[in-house]
Amino acid sequence: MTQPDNSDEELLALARQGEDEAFGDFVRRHTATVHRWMVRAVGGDDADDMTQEVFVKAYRGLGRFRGDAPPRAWLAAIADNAVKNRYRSRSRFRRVFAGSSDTDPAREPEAPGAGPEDEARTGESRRVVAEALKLLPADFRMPVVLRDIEEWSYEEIAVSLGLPVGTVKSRIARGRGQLKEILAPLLSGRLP
Amino acid sequence: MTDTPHPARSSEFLSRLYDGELAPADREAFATHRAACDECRQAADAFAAALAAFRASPTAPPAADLSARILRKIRAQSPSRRPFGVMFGIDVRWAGVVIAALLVVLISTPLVLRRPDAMAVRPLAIPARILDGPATAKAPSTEVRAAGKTDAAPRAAAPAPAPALASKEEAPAAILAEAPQKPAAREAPADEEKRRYAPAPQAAAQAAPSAARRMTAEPSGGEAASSGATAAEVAERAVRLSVRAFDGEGPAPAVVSHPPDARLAGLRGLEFVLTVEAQGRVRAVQASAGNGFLADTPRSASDAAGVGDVLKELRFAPGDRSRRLLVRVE
Repeated sequence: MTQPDNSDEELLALARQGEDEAFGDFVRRHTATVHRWMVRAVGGDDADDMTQEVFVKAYRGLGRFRGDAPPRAWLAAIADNAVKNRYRSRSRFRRVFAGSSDTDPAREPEAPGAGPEDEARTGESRRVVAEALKLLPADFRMPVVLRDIEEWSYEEIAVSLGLPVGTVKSRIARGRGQLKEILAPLLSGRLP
Repeated sequence: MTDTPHPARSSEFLSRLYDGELAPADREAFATHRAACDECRQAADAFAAALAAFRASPTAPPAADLSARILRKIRAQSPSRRPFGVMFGIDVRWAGVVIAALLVVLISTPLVLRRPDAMAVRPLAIPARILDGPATAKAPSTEVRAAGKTDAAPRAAAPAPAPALASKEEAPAAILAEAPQKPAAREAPADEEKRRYAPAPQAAAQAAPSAARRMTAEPSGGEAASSGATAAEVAERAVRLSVRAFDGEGPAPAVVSHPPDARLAGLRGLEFVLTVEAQGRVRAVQASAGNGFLADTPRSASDAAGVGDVLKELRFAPGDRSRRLLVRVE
C-alpha cells in the first residue's frame, strides 16, 4: 500500500514487487519534470509522446533499477537515451525513404517555411529559443537541459548519464557554444 | 587561462567562465583582456545572453491528463506483465524454481523407489567358497553348483567353520565346467536376436515376475516335481546355474561370484537371458519362456523387481565386449 510520503525509492521498490499503484504514484510525481525536460529537448509538439515513452521504458526497466543512483537520475538517463534514439531513428528513416543527404544524424530539420530569423523578427523570440535547442546534436541536449534548466551539478549529470565528469563538461560546453551560435543573431539587441 | 589571444573563442573557456570555475587569476586576466577586446567581450556577452534566454524560455505545463494517459498506455502495452513477473502476489521466478524442484522430486521418487536394492531386504551374507575360479572362464558353457548356505562373493571373508574340502563333489559351492552343448541350437541369428531383445529394459522388468509367478503356480514343475522331493528338500539341495552363450560371440564367460543358494532356490526350473557388461556385471535380466525366447506375458512391476535383482548379483569373468547369456537355474 502506498503512502503520500513514500520516497521515490520506496515507490519503485513497491512497484518492483508488483504494486502497480506505486508506479502510478511515481509517474504522477514526475510527469511534470520529465515533460519539462522534453519540451526543452525535443520541443513542445513531441514532449507528450516523449514523456510517455520515458515512463513506459522506465516501467519495462524496473528490474534494472538497482537504486545506486537517485530515481530522477535514472529517469534522466532513460530520457537521454530516448532523445538520442528518436533522432537516430528519424535520421535513418530520412536516409532510407527520402534520400536525405543529411550528414548530421543528431540534427533535427529546421521548421519548414520559416527560419529562426524570420520567427525572431515577428517577435516570437521565446519560441525561437525553444526551437533553437532542437538544432543541437542529440548528445548535447539532455546534458544542457539538466545543467542549465534543472541546475544539476556536473557530478549528478555524470552519474545519471553514466559518463565521466570531463565528458559531461565537454558536452555541455560544446552544447552551450552551439546554442550561442544559433541564438546570437536572434538575440542581438532584443533579448526577452 | 587559455594561451590563445582571444580566449572567448573557446566554448570550453566561456562555459567555465559562466559556471564560475575559472581560477581567480584567470578570471581577472580575462576581465582585463575583455575590456580591451571587442571580439571577446561580444562573445562572452552573447554566450551569457543565449543561456539566459534559454533558461528563461517558458514551457507549457503538461496536460492535466498526461499521467493518466501514460498509465493507460503502460497497462495497454503490458496487460498481463507485472514487474519482475509478479502475479497473484507470487514472484514467478521463485515459483518456477519451486515447480522445477517439485517436478524433479515427482519424477525421481518412483525411479528411486523402484530400484530393487532400495526396496529389497538384503539377506545376511552366507559363507561360501568357490573351488574353481577363473580357470573355468574359457569353458564355452559353465555350470555353477552351490551349496545351500553359500555366498561366493566374500571369499576372503569365509569363516573358519567352513569344512575342509576334499573334492569338487564335496564342496559346498562348486563351479563345474562342461563342454558346450549344441551352442548353435541356442544361438539365434543376429537379426532374430535384435527383434527378440529390442525392448530390453521394459521386457526385463516385465518378464521376471512371470517367471516368478510360474514358479509358484506350478509347484510340480522343475526338478522338484520330477524327483518327487519335498519343498524343504528342494530348498536344501544345491542350486546349479547352467550358463550358455546366447550371442554367438564364443564361449560363455566363467561365473566369478554368485548370490547364495537360499536366494537362488526360488528360481529353480527357470531360464533367464542376461545382458552382461564387458566388466562382468549383469546389466539386465530378462525371463526366458524356457525355449530360448523371452517371456512375453504382461507382468506387474512389483513382481519384476525381485527375480531380476538376484541374478544381477552374478559376476562373470571380464571380457572385451558385453555378452548375452542364457542362464538356467536348476
